[in-house]
Amino acid sequence: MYISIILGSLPILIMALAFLLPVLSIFIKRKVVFDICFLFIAFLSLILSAEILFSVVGTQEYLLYPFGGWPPPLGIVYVADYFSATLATTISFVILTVAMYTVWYTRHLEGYVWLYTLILALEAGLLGVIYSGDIFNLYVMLEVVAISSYGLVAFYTFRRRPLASAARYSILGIMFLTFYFLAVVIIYSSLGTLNIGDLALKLRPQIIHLQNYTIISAYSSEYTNTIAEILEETALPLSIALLISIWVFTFISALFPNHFWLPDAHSEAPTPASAILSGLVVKVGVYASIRFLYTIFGPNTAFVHIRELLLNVLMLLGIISSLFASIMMALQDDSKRMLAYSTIVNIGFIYMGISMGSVMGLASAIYHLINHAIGKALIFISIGLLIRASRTRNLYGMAGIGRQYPLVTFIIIMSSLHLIGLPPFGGFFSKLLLYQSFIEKGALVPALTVVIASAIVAYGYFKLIEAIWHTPPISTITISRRPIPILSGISMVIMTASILMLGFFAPIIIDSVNAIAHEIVNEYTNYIEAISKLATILTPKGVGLP
Amino acid sequence: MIMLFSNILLISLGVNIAISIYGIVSKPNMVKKLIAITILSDTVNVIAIVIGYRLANPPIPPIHALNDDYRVFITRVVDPIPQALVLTAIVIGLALIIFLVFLTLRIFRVFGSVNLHEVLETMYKELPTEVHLYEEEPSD
Amino acid sequence: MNISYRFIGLLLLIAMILAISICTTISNVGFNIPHDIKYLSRWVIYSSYLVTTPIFSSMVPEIVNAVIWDYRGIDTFFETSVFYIAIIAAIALFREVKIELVKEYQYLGLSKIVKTVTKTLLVIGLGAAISIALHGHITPGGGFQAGSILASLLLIVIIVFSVHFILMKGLTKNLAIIIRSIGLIGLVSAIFIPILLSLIMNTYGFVFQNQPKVMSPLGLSYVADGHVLSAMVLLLNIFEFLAIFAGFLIIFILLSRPTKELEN
Repeated sequence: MYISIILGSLPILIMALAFLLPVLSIFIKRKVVFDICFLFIAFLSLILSAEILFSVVGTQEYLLYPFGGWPPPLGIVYVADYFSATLATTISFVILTVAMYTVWYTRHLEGYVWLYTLILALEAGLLGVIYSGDIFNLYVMLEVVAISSYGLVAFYTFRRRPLASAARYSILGIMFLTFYFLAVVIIYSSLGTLNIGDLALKLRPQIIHLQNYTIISAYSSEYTNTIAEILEETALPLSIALLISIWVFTFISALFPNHFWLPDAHSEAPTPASAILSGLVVKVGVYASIRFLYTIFGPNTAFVHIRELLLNVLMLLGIISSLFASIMMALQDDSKRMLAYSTIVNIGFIYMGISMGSVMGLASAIYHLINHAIGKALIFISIGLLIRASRTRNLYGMAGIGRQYPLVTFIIIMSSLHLIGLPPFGGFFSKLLLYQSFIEKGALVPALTVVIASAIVAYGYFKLIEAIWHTPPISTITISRRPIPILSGISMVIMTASILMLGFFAPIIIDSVNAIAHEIVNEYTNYIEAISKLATILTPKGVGLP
Repeated sequence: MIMLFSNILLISLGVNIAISIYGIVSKPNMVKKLIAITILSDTVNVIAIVIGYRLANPPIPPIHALNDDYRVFITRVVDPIPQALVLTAIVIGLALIIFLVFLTLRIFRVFGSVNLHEVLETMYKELPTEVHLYEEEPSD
Repeated sequence: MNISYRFIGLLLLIAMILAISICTTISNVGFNIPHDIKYLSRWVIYSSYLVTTPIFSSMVPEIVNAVIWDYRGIDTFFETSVFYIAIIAAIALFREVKIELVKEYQYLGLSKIVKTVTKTLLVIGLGAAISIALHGHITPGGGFQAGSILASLLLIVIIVFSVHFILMKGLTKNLAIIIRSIGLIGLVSAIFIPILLSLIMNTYGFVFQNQPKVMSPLGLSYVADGHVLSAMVLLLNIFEFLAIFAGFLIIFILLSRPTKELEN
């Protein structure tokens, strides 16, 4: 357990720097200044989150930060374990590469400052969700993520489709997140705390006596022998709170019955925003689901029955989601819409992995999550280049455009193979791990679903590649070839290299995601111990209630 | 008696939530949806306040008076944490409502209607012309 | 489409009524109005103004304000950020719209009687708002409440004098953005003051630190009438006041454009 000032200041710092851009825009009109600021902030966040990851890996301990110096159940604490540090580094990396593309994308766009500000605010919100160790703080950070996403979707305000899709997305999003607040209130009223570690301890009355958690229990009289009785009495409200919060997280990550807003919203946003929304924002819901289903309401709590039921439902929804969305994807004519449906397919896979409840299933879900985040962002920005060149998103309008940009087409082919799940890319190994985790438990239907959905998705991607490479151009207007912008070219090459690395270093990565999943599923006491150690350090001696 | 009153209060809050969901999901008018969202967030805030309230006689607000006795104070003071959560949630709800108001205004100016069914239909009808205008840029 | 929406709506209606009614009637703990408060809240109430042990206190007699700015300060910071992002998104939605100023603004607006009354009200309201902002840590209120009061007064001014009056007097959208950002940057720098002090004084400091803690002896406080009070929360309230007031001002300026100008 270490206290790290970097962890405490990272989201605040990014948010504060994002606030500076609109003020600068009043005084400075040159775009280059903002480009440099934007890239600098994105780079800074990558450096800092990688620093956090290195210190977590190097010291083999959790990194914590208590805000205001208050001991955990009283104040808010940020926690960086392996899982959150890895995810945060992925997020910062993807946003930096997308930022390099955004600089080129906005070269003729009015209002680029607002786009930059919204993307940076989104990044601060994402990092805050990942690091937060408090369920109400999680709500606030989810709202930061949500409102910047609404702003990004509605960015092209003079067109009809973005406005209408933003309206649908924002109305439902506001409703769902209000319900998450209701769930937080119910949890507070039942257990009297908001801290994730404290909640995890209170829901497992059997380990209170085994370990020495005296300091953290000093903040709550409910840690007594009567905790089991309290849990019996609050079983119903807590189950409802769990159901509501998981339902909200499936909305955020667009699982099957709550997916309908995604194809419109993600395809109508500006292309860099689509890359971030499709690659990262949906993953926030997955992260929160894992925290709720494993860290808080874990397998050895009193809620094991409702959790099993919920995992079965999530498995079913994941299967329906991946099959349905893969068919829908193969039917699309709109390239960005197609990629948006592909996101739903992959979210279905990730939820199937989570709902196995085993170490291997969770490990494959985490591996697939990282693979999909990078691969989807890459294919979105490379398709974005072709869309700019052909001035249409329609596959028939884009016919033959790839021949003018062979490098971009090559990258699109590579990332498609990565997303379909073919070797030697990372997507293959994560899907293989997913498949193995189903076979290990003898679940044949999910295993078959992975194969079938991948095959249908492959048809969709081959349709895309065929349209941009093989079909002769139908347009009578000859499109002059423009050079590929250097900065976005670099970012695409970096991301291609990283998806190749995700494949080449698959054994090492599988080992580390297995370690992460093992820690989440079995070593949940590490989290509680880190929190209670922090409480021990920060509570002065001799202070007690009169 | 207090039990009855609190149950009536809480059931009415439940009915309130249900009505607001009905408004959000099935009323096509954006302004009506907005009103329903306001009802929903206010209801959830009231639930939080009710949970933080206590049946003391009489309850007092959570402010330390000068030279007060903690032992007497603690028997009557209401819970401050839900109040703080609600203050945060109110501001967040306000921000979201502000965004939604601007979006509704913009939709009204672009579509000439705030009926979301009409808006979505118009949006899909205009697909062929919109597609080619997408991602336009001045030719360089 | 329409029928399915109705059906889903009715289904949700019935399900919600059932669920919440069951919760309220069956469960005894979850939803009933309690007779006692949570143990965690006892700690908050106890430690919020603890003169004898300043090492474990926030020195703010108004406990809700103590929770907002000290115990859960980062929530409030990001809540202000949400408000700011909403305004940014609103400006982005209306970004290509320009307003034409009317120079003869004195002929616009309501009658002279109303204008005179409003001027009087403005002075009183400004005083009330500033006093609420400055006393947020002692009495109910705080930065957000004070900012809202001042902003609602400005709304009255916009209605009575017209928006051109405000704009011609120099209170433009850009100035509001600058005030807003000054407020937020002040907020952030106040948050990081303990860190800077700890670098200078070679001790440890926390983000959002208000009073001395176990690991670090830093803390900003002042003495008023023999009582030690937190100066940090006062600073944060003042900056929040500026930020919220300017944020509302941006919204009112954006919203008070007549529809006629925008129809082209």
